[in-house]
Amino acid sequence: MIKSLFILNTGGDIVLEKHWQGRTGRNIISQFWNELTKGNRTKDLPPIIRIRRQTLIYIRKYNLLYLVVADQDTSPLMFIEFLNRVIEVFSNFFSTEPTETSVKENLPKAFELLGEMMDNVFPVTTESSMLRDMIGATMKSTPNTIENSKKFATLSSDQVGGLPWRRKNIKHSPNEIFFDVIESINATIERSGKCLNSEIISKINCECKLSGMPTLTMVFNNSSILEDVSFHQCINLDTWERRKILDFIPPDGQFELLTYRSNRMQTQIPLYTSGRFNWSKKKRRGKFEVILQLRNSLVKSIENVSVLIPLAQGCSSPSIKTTNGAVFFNDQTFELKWEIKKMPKNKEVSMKGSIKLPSKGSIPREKPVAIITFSIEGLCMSGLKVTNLNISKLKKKIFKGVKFISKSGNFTLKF
Amino acid sequence: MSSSRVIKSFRQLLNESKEQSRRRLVIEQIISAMSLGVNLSPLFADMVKAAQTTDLVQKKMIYLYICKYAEENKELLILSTGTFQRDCQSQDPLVRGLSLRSMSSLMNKELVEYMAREIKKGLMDRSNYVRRIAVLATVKLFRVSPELVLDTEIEKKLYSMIAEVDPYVSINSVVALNEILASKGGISITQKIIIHLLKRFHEFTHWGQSIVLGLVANYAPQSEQECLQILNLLDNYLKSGNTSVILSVSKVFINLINDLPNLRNQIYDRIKNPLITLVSCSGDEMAYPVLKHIYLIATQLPNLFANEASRFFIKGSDPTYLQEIKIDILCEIVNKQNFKQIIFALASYVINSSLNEHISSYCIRAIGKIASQLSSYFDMVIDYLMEFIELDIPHIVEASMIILKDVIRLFPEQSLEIVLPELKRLSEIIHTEEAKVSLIWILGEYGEKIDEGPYILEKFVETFSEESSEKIKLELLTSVLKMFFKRPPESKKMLGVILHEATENSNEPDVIDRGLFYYRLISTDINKTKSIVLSEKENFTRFTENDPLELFEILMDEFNTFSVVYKKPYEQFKRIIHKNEEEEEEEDDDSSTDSSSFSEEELLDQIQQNVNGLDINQQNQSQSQNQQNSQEEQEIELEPKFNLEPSEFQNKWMNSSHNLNFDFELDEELDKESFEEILKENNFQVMASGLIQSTIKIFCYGKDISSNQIGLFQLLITGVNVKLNAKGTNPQFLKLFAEYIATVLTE
Repeated sequence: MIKSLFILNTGGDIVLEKHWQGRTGRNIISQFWNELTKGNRTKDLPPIIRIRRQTLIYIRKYNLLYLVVADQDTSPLMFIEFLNRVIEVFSNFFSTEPTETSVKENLPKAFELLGEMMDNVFPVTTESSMLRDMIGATMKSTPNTIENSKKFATLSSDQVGGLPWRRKNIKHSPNEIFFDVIESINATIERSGKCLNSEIISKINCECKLSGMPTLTMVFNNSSILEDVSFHQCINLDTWERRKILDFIPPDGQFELLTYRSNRMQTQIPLYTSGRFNWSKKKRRGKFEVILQLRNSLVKSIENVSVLIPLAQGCSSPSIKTTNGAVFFNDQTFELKWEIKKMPKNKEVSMKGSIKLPSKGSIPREKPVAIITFSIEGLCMSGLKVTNLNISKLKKKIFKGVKFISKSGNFTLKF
Repeated sequence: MSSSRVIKSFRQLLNESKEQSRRRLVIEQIISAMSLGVNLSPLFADMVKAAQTTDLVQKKMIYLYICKYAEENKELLILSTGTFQRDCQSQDPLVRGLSLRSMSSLMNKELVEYMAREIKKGLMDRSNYVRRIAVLATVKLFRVSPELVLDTEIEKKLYSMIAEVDPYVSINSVVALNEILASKGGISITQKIIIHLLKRFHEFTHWGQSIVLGLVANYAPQSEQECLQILNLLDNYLKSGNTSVILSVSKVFINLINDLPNLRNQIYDRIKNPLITLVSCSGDEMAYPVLKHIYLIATQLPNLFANEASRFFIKGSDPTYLQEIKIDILCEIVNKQNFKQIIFALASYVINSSLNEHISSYCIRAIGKIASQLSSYFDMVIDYLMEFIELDIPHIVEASMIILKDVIRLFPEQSLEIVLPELKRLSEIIHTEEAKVSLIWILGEYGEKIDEGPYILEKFVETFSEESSEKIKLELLTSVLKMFFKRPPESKKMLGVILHEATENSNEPDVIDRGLFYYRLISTDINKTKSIVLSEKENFTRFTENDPLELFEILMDEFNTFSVVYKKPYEQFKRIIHKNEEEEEEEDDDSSTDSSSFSEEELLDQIQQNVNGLDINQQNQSQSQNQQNSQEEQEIELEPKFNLEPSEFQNKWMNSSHNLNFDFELDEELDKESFEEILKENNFQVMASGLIQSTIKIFCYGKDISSNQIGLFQLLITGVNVKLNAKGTNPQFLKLFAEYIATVLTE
C-alpha cells in the first residue's frame, strides 16, 4: 500500500522520510514540489496526483506537508485516513502539535511510531492507546534496559480477547470521563436577516480516564437527531440500530466518539444578523451597516463575537461608528474586523460606516460578505441532550460530565 | 562540515560514550543526521557492534540504521546476523518482534536462510505480537525468494492462522496471503473464510475491516439469502468513523446490487447520506476522493443527489480541485426541478471576482453542458451567456462566445432567433481571439439571415491586413466564402479583397495556402465549390468533450480505487505501474551511489540536476530498459539536423521495403502542437500534420546516428490512442524505432 512517507516543511525540505518497502528516490519530491508551487497556486494541487507514473497523496497540517508514495490500486481513502492518523498519533506522543521543530526534536520516536503503525506497507496499530504498549520508554528519561523492563515480557495487547482500541489493565485514579458536545453551525444569512440555508456539523469529543474495561451506555432525549452519524469503532452498532442507545467500551485518553450532521434546528440561530453594503460610484466609497442581536432566550450572553469583512484591494480610510466593541482595519489584507467582547442581552448592537476605494480602477462588481464567528457555552442548537450516562463494571467513584458548546462554522452574511 | 569529518566524530563519540544515556543521545544524533540525508554508511561496522546493547530504545534506532544502509554494506551485514539471531531468542517479545521485523526488511539474498528459519519460528511464537510480525515477514521473504513461501508449509500455516483468536494475527494472515498469491488472483475466497471474517468483523481495526470488505466485494454469495445477510450485517458500518470503511461497504453494496436488481434504489439510498456526511464533516483532502465517487454515482443515477444540489455549491474557501469536481457534480444532477437553482448558482460564480478565472470559465462551460442536457431551457442559458459577454471581461467573453457558438450548433433554429439580432452589437464589443473566431464562424454559417450580416463581416475584412491572429484570418476566409455563396451581390467585393490580401500580402503560410486553395477552387468550378463549402452538416447532440458513457460503467466496477479519482480505467495506468518498478530500482541504485560520496555541495548539485535533468534521465532510463529487454537492441540516437525534401519523403514512403503497424496508449491527451514539440525535442522531423475531426495526423521521420537507418512514421492520434505506421528498410531496426517513438511520446 504505502511504500514511503515524506514529511516536508513549507519550503519543500524533507523533515522526515520513512520507507516501508524499497526506497523511493528524492527526485520525485522535487518534481512534486515544482507541481505544487507552479503558478503560485499552492492550494490548488489535488491531494491525489500522478507524477512520474507514481501515485502521490498528500495532506497538510500545522505547516507541514505529509506525502505518501502509493503502490497498489487500493482505496484512496485509506491513504488519507492513514495520514490523518499519523498526525493524531504524533500529537499524542509529542504532547504538542507536530510542527517542523517538534518532529525534528522527536525524530527517533517518530521513526519508532511509524515502524509500529505500518508493517510491510499495511497499516497495523494506529490507535495511540495501543501504541503506548509498544513504544515502551520515554526516550529522554532514564535508560530503560531490557533487564529492568521485564514488564514487557507480557505485552498487555498480547492478551487474548483484548480490543483493538483499548488495552487491558489500565489504572486511573481518580476515575473520570468528560464529554464535549461541539456543534458548529454553517449558515448563509441574507441582508434582511433571513436565513438562506443552515446546517449543523457536530462532534462529541471524549476524554476518558477510567480503569479496567468499563462499559458505558449513553441515552439521548431525541436520538433521531443523530441520523447522519459516524461512530468511533468502539460503539456497538447493533445496540444502536435496535435501541438507539450508545453502548461502548471507550478507548483510553482523548478520542472523537462520533460526528453528526443535522439540518434541523431545535432552537433559533442564537445570533440575529442583518446588514447592508453599497458601493457608491460617485463618491468612490462603500457604505455599510451590520446589526447583531442575541436572539436565543436560553443564552444569557455571548462573549467574543467577531465580524470580518474582506474588502477590495486598495480600500482605505475607514470611518466607522459602533454601539459596542472595537473595529480594526488591516491595510495589508484589506480586512475589516469588528470585535465585541461581550454581547448584551435584549439589545441590538451595530456597526455603521464607510470605506474609501482607491481613486483609480473600476468599482467592484459584487458586494463583500461578512464572516461571523462566535462560540457559546452551554447551548445545544440541535436540541440533543444526554438523558442518562451509565458506567458499569467499575465500583469506584467516577467523575463524569457533559459540556455543550455551540459555535459558528461557516457563518456568513450576504449583503 | 564534510561527511568524512562527521563520520569521524560520530565514531569517536560512539567509542567514548560508555554511559547508556549518553550513548543513546549519540545514536539519536546519528539518526537525526541520517534523516537529513547525510550519508553515514561508513559507520556500519560501528553500529552493528553497538547493536549488542540491552537498551531497547538504542536497539530500535540501531536497527533502523542497519536497515537503511544494509544494501551498501552487504559484506558487513553478515556480522549483524549474530545479533539478530540472539535477539530472536530474547525473553522480551518486543525485542523478538523488532529483530524479526528488521531482519526481514533487509531484503538480502544472503540472509534468506536465516530469515526463513526465524520466520518459521516466529509463526509459532507464544506472543501474539511476535506472530503478527512474523506473518507479515513472510511477505518480505516471498519478495526475496518466492520459492521459500509459495506452496510450502508457510502458505499452509498462514491459511490456518486466519482462524487465530488474535484479530491482528488473523487479518495479517489474510493480507499476507493476498499478496503472496497475487499472481494467482489473491487469497482464495471461500464461503468459509468470508463467514469467519464477517462474524468477527467488529474485532478488526478499520484497516482490517477495509481489507475484509475488499474480499467480500469480490465474493459471489451463493444465494439471495446470503446476499441479504451480508447487506444487513454491513449496513451498520455505513456509520463507521473511518471513511475508507464507508466507501468499502458502499463498494460491496454496489457489487451486490447486480444480484438484487429490485433493491437497487433502496441500496443507493442507504449509501447516499453517509457519503454526503463525509463531504461535510471531513477536510478538503478527504472530501476530494469522496466527491469523485459521488460524481461517478451521479453519472449512473442523476436523480439520487438531485435534491441535494445546494451541498455541492462551491465556497470561496474551497481549493480549485474541490470547486471543479463540485461543478462537475452539479452538471450531472441537474433536472427540471433544480435547474434554475443550479444555473443561478453557476452564473453567480462566473461573475464572482473572488473565484479565479479558471473557475469562471469552467462554470461557463458547465452552463453550456447543461444546455445540451436540458434542451427546453436553452433560452435561459443564452440569456446568461449574452449577459456575460456584455460584462466585457476578456476571459468571460472568450469562454461565453465559444459556448454560445456551441449552443447555436445544438439548437440552431431556436437560438438564432435570440442571437442574430445581437450579432452586430456583439461584433463591436468583443476583442479576444477565440471569441472573435466564434463570432466569425456564426456569421459565416448564419449571417445571411440578417440584413447586415455581410456588412459585419466586411468590417472584419477591412482590418484583415492588420490582423495578427492567424486563427481569425483563417476563419474569416472561410466565412467570407460561405457568405459569398449565400449573398453574392453584397459579398463579391469583399471576397475579392480578402483573397487578394490572403494570397498576396500575408506572411502566414497557412493563410496563403487556404487563400490559394479557395482561389483555385472557385476558378475551377464555381458550382462544385458551392456544394463543398455549403455542404450539409450533421446535427450533433453531444459535445465531444463529454465523456463516453461506457467509461463510467467500467469505473463503477472499479469503485473505491484510484481509477475513480483519475477518471481512467485501471487498465490505462496498470501497465505503467509495472514499468515503474523497473524505473524505481534504477532510481535506488542512483541514490545509493550518489550518497556514498556525500558533500553538501554535491548534494545541492544533485538536487539541481534532478530538477533540470529529469527528462533526459527518464529517457535514458527507458532506453536502458529497452536494452535490458533484448541483447541485440541498441540505443537510438537521432541526428539533430537531418532533413528530407517532401518529395524524397514521399518517395521513400511509397517505396519502403518494410512496414510496421504498432498501437499504443498515452498517459494523457495532448494537442497537436505539443506532439510536434515533443517530437522535435527528440530530433524527429515533422513532415506534415493536420487535424481530421478529432484525430491528429502527423507524418514525421528521423535518422539514427550510429546505424544510419532512416525511419518514416505516420501517427494517428485519437484521444490517448495512437496508431503508428512505420516504414523503413530494416525490419528489426524498424521495431526498435517504433518502440523508441512510443517511449518518447509516453514520457
